[in-house]
Amino acid sequence: MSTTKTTESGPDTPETTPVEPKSSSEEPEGSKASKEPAKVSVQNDPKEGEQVGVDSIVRIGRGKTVVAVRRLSYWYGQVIGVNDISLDIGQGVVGLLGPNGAGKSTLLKLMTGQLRPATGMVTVNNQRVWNSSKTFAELGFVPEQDAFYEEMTGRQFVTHLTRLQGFSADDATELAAEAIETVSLTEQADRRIREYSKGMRQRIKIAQALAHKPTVLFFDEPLSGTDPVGRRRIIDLIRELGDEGRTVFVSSHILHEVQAMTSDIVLINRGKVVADGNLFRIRELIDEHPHRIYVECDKSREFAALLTPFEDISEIQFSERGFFVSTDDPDACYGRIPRLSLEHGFKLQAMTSQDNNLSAIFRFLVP
Amino acid sequence: MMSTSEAPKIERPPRSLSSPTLGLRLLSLDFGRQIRARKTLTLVAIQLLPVVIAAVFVIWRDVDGMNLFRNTIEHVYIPLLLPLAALFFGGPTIVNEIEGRTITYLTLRPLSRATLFLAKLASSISVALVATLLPVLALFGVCMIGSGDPLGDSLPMLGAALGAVAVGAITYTAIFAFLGVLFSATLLLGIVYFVVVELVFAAIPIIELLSVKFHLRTIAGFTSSDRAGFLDRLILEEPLNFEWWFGVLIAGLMASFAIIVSTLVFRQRQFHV
Repeated sequence: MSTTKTTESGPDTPETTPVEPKSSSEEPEGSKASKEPAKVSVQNDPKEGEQVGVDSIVRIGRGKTVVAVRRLSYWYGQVIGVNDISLDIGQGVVGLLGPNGAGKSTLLKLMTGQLRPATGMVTVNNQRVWNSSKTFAELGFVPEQDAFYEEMTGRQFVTHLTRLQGFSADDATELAAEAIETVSLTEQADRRIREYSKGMRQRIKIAQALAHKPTVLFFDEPLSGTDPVGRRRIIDLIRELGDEGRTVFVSSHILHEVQAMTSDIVLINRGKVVADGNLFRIRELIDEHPHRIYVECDKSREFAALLTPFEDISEIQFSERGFFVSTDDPDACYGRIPRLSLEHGFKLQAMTSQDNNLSAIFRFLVP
Repeated sequence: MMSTSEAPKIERPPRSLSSPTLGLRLLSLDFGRQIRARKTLTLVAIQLLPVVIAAVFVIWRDVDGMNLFRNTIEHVYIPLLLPLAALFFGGPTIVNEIEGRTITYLTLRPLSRATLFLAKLASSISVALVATLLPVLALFGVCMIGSGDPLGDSLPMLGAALGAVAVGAITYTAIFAFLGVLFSATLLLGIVYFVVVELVFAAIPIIELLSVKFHLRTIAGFTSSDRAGFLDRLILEEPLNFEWWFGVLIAGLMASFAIIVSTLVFRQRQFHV
């Protein structure tokens, strides 16, 4: 993650001055990134009288700024959906993380011109998005909603929308076939969409966003409803798109989904960016604090007794059906629990952590 | 992996992003989709019902074919089937896309909101024209069989009927699309509009000028004979009657107003789908 300061020269021409430029070879990927020092910016609410401006613009992704968001706000009546967000997004995959209702979808709708900003603006390739149709020639969007022209086949759907990107019938057919192939749906392409499974519908949505080969892509919860194989394919595809130098902005409320795609993240909550930076570093910071793991098995008390001798275990608290174990070394504890249950013949029914999810990150970042 | 500042090199075929090209393309694609839709077939079947009934009359009863044609146009097509067709196609022009949440796909294409709306409206009007003009032609054909008149004598009546139906299809579809854009709901509002303006207003002297039906009757050459006669006598010496071109002019103004306002509103619409 490269951290830059942005010199504001008007939202249409965002100029960036890199403070710590990083070559693409240093681009964090998977576990490699976790070993590299990375900067994490945690954004707290400005103090009274403090000016929020040029210095608070989040810079994420590599290369030039492709998507610029400036002081963007959006209100649903009295409720704020997006609250004064400024972002500079470069190339590569950037994850937008936030719990349900954090404002992710609203932000994406603003970035794709579905909604008109109450204040501020969004530019893609230096062109305002709202009511600027030409911007959409370079933009692909996978919406969250499960909406289609159900009577069409997958191929007709993608071809239809690709033709509306200005391509001739032959070219649109070819591009659609290519995109359908990319999402591994060729065999089912001539079936009607109403007959598709949830995962297939998700993939055909992705195909329509890819067919015209846009340079900027927005994915809103792209993995919802997909099976593990489909999920893996979509994750790989998103990573490939980022590696090709496209700007890919992916929203999700599930941490491990985003973690599999990128380590560059923007965390939002209640419509505000609460942190941006390297996901692995944020998790490391969390890991420095005790974790609470919930365990449920057939003989809770006996199993808990097995765990008490370990030094990292600081507390065990029993509940109605299981127990909570607090540990200072979550990685070791996560491995130990299933191993011990197997070795001693306990039936492990559940092992979950309230701390290993997005809520934990938010509890950590937003006290 | 690419270098940091390098823009992605993406090869794709040439394309035309001009508004007329994309607008016409949307029109043709949407027209094709609508014409094949089951609801269109249902509507055409409904529109053909008077033709079937007319055929029964012509075959088994001794009726004046041209009189039957005229009465069917005046009392069935213009006041009832024509608004029904427009309600079918005009209202859902945009509302169906919003309710089906497919509007997102359309608004993410590189065509302006105005072009998008106008292309969709033109498509709806085209389907409405096909669904209403063909049954009128079929009705004329059936009625001609039952008429002893030479074809040449009946053509002016056919021309007037087709003109009124065409103007009606355009105007009603534009009005229902306008209601759809304004309120994102069409059926109930469309019915309210129909009852208030096209049934109640159309029966009141002077006020009737606000209804489309009045002007369609003018174009078709029908007098205001279906109004409550006592109201006429209270207000006017005799019913209002105008030349056909006046009907075209007023209906055209109504359609233009509906199209312009709904396009302006649609340009600023936000979609919370």
